[in-house]
Amino acid sequence: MRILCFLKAILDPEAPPGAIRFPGKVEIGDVATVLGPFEGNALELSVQLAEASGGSFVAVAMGDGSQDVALRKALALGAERAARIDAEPGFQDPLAAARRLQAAAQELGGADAYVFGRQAGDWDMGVTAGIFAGLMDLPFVPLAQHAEIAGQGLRLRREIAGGYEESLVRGPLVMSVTNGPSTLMRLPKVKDVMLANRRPIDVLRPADAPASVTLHEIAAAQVTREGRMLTGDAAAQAAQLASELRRFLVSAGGGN
Amino acid sequence: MFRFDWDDDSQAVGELARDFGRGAAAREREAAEGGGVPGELRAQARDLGLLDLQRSPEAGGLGLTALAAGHAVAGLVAEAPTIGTSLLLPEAAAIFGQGPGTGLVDGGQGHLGYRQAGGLRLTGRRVEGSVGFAALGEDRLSYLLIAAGEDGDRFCRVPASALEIAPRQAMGLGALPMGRVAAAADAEPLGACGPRERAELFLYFAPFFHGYGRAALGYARDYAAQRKAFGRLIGSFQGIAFPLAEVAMENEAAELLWQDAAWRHAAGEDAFLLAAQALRAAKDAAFLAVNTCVGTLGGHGFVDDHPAERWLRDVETLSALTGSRLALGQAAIAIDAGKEAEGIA
Amino acid sequence: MPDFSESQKEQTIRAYLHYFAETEIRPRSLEADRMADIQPDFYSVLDRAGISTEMMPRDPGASRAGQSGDGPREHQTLRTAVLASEELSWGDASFMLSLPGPGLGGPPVSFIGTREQRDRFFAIFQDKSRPRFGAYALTEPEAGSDVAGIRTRCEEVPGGFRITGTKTFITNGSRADWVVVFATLDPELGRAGQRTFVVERGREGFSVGRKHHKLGLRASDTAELVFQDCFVPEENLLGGRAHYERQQSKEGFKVAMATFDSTRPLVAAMAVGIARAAAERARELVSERYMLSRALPRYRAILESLDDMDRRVRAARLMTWKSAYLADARQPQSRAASMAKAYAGGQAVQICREALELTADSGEEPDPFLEKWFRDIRVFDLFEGTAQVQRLVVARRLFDEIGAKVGL
Repeated sequence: MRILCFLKAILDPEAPPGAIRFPGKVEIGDVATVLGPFEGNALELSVQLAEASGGSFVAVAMGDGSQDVALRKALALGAERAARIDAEPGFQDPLAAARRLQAAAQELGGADAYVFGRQAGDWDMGVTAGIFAGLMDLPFVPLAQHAEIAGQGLRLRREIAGGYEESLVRGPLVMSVTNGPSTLMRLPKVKDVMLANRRPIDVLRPADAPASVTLHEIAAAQVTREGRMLTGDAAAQAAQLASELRRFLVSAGGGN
Repeated sequence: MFRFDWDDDSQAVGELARDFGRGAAAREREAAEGGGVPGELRAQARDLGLLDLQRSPEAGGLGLTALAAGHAVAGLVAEAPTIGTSLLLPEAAAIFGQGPGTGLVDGGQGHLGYRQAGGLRLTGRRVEGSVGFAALGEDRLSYLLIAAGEDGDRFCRVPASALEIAPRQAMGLGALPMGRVAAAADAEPLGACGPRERAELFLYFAPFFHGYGRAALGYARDYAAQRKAFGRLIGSFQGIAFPLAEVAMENEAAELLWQDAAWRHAAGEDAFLLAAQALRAAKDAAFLAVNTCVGTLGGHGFVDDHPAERWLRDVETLSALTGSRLALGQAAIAIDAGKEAEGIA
Repeated sequence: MPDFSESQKEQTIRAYLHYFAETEIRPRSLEADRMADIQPDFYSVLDRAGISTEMMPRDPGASRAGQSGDGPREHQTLRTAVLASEELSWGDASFMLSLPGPGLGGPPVSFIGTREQRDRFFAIFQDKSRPRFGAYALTEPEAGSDVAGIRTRCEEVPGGFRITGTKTFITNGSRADWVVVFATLDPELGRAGQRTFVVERGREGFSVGRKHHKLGLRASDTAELVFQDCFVPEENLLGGRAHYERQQSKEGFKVAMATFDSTRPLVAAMAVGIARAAAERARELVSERYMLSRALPRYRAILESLDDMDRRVRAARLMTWKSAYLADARQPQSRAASMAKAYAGGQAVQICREALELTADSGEEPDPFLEKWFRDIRVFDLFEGTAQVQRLVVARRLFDEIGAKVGL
């Protein structure tokens, strides 16, 4: 089985609040770039499927050199090859991104399974995998937490309210992976980590796709405090509270 | 020109070690209270190669330099101090070309005779004597011994079954098998244990203390950032914050001294004195850190709800297992005396 | 990988500076300390030797991320400066502080000044006909660590400003060709009201008050400066008005504070130089005084003490090097710079005291160099940020790492 695993490295979600500033544009400071958490799940599932099927997986990321940290993790876990689609860092229109991923997938010779993390940990949109599936005209199974080879196809499982949902898919498919007991990313071996540092990362340059969505503005939330301490004894406070609530409901259009 | 950054390999291995430590951290208490290092963690560490960092490729290891390996060790121990130390301290024999499954017991006199009492003696192929307190390992097949020979300390190797081991417990490092070791056996002589070998041992031990230093500083800092007293966070009191700053400085100084010594040793310089100083500084910094951590936690630092008191016990036990400060100081004196014998008789 | 190698060129520079310190500074040191002044002939010797503060980063902006247009080429300016500082201070830190050049006034002009201002104010140092100095005037009698509390007023008038107030403890204050002066439009405005000027010597209303008599670093000129309605033209407002508009978003204050990140390692290096001198001298004297007459074991304590001093000197040097390296590598180094200064300053005081204690003996006159260095070193935990301020910075950075606002 041949797998294409799409990865993304993001600014460290464990960086302390305030380390990344937004005076008009994002200021990264000295925050590290790390493999996104759901991409780690996708990578783990890709490794499992490659091992189970005796096949292989190729890791792909899109962006600048800061994405290499994700690709090196994949190489350390046994990726046959790692490729980076050269692109500017920052916000990517999901449709344009999916088109470029599609072009890269074709350049890399296609796959039996295209594996994504359920959403990238920076922009958290979670739509690129679905759009990619649409462009590729392939079935899309989102939020997989477990996958195993089943005859000619794949059995995928995810948790739903009150139980599990299983899908059995024959033929090529696209899936997004989420966290679960089966998808916790394993640690690579020391020697594989060191070898991975020495392996090449191919750089792909598919044509740019026009963006239909662009980032207009990004700003940190403003914290405001608009509160009032009620005064007096319990009865007086209750009366004030009732009056405030009535005023709030009226002003919020809640009627009486 | 001097630089302080780490190459890709060291960074990646360091991250891996740290990630392993983070995964192990939840089982620290269970391990320390007599459970020992859980088998599956030990197996995972072995499988990942974390027990073979500095072991030579010929002996089945990864052949990392002391600098790179120590960087990883400190990172791992900082996340899981008890488990990390218990897993890695007994692998010291790796730095002398030994394969997995070989422990190390130091019964020598030390370079220039700094150890005064007890120990092991090697006469021809016969090793005899005892070491009152040594770090053992799990499932050791053989032991590399350092014993006093006629012209200085020497290495020799014996099967584990040839030693009489009486398990001992100390106040700390509850997950690490320790004991009294007595020998009266035929041994395989393996060459001299001179100042370069001693330096390597010092350089191996120091990062464990760095790890405790980092763990204690982080824990105290985190506590000070959320505990309130007198209506405010205790971290806002200089009496709490300044000692943390001192710990940060001493930790940094100790780690830099170690980096310098390790680099010079690798460059072929005689770094025995520097390595002894670096180990001594590491012990002092680690003690300051764990002691400050207990102090920052106040009464909570004294009880076992928090790991602070355990780390205080651990550091002093670790210090006893890795050559006393006094002995390290005397090693330095002996060097000086050698150098300046004409001036200071 | 951490690397402590020294190229041939670096070794040569260091050896040359050490030789200069040994042959030209040390012989003048005690007399200069007694006279509380540098011998005038020192400056021609300096000139002939080709030593100048050009080896110091004239534009420390080049070492700060985002401050200069330089490419990714690795800078070594602060590392070189730190090596030079240590060697020259090993000779005598007073002489180090008395080297012609912009001195501590350099970084603010570099960081805040416009291109035109940088060209204008640094141009005078090209004239080598006499030694020329810059100075940095922030501290006041009532405002030291509390920088926001300065009271020297600046009042906007047509064409510029009028400055009134007193500055104290100003290095090279009495002989500076120009001084960087911090004043406030209104103390109530706090940092937002502060302005930075360059005031040239000779301006009406600017005079030198008394020269300070100090415990140590006596040969270094330290003076009080008095401003009485001193008119300063608009073009001497460092950075121009545009800079202060940016400062409303705290950009300017951040930049001002950033200057300390490049001077702290240099000051730490000076402390290392003095401490090393004291440790070496103690070892020399101990060797001379205890020759061949007593059995070694009685003096284990001495050797342990000497070994301890060597270790502390080395640790202080490594911390200083690390902060210089981070600056050159354009990485954040505020915490490292403060740690280096706090550690080096504090350890150096202990080392100088220990050196004196080790060598003091009844019936023997205390070594004049050790006494001098003991007096000199004390200020290193006081100027350029006291020991307490450095620890505040380090502790704050520790809490910053986890995004905690503890109110320290």
